[in-house]
Amino acid sequence: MLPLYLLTNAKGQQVSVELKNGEIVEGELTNVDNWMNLTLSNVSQQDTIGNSGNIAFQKEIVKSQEVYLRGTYIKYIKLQDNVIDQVKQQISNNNGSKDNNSGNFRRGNKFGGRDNFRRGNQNNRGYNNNQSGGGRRPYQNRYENSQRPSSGSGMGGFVQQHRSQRDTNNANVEF
Amino acid sequence: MSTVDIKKPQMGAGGPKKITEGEADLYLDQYNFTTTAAIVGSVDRKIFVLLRDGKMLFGVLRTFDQYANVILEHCVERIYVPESNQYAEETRGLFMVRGENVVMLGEVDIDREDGPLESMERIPFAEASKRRRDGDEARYRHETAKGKQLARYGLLYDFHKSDMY
Repeated sequence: MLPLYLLTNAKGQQVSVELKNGEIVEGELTNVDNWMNLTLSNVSQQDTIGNSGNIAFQKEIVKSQEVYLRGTYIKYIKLQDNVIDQVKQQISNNNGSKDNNSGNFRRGNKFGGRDNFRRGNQNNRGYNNNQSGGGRRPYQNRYENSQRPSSGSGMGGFVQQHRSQRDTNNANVEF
Repeated sequence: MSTVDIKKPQMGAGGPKKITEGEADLYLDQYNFTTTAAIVGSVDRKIFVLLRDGKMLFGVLRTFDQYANVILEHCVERIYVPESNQYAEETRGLFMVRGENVVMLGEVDIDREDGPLESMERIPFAEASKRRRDGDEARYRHETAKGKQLARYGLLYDFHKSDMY
């Protein structure tokens, strides 16, 4: 599960966004796109003014009904603590019948995370298929041995999709 | 038809010979990832993140992507004031940090983390952040003055107030 995926699933929740200039914008998240542009509703905006030292913590608050925020101006976003659990639940509800493990975020084994990356790389065909040079050993048909990497992974839903796609049309796996 | 039969034609003639699982793992252990994939081993571990504005965040890395956008659970912001051997902490909850603002991040050894803090005094967060802000401003004034000096000799001095780390 990628960070942006989590954010899209936090729609309708209360978030607090700090911008690169230190301003803090709080409101209900109404929409997110691939560039992390946000729209917030019922917004209160605060800015630390009096930066010259003697006035320490004075804040100016502006309230507005709806705000559009460009993604590139975001420093970080504070989300509600229960978002991860909610998304986990959603994922396991969606494909619970197909895969019992899919809601599990934690790595199943020590190498779970790395397996993850391997999957990502395999999707990226043509990236590393220079077979002649270097000490790079090609690595084929890993999944023949039915030794699937554990499905409990940090990336949950997304990776599951990729994997099922790849299993059908990209059986020949190379590094 | 078995699965092997399906795959064979794709391998083509003179395809490279198969290697075992063990060999594959060995190969991957030697591979040094230099992209964001390098932090894949830190997922579900406690990490610290230094931001461009100088903030230090500590939390459990849940997910990340190719931009180093990271999700930190149980996030804590900590300010160190080394001059007076003090520090301050504030709990922040679930945090999503935009990758652009990340300077560096790394795993924290939770057994040894508290060692240095025991010899330091904990002060209120507001006080520490005020001290930090003052320090940043002093630095900003100093660096801009320096930049102006150098400019008089036709020299460039790269400093931007967003780089406070």
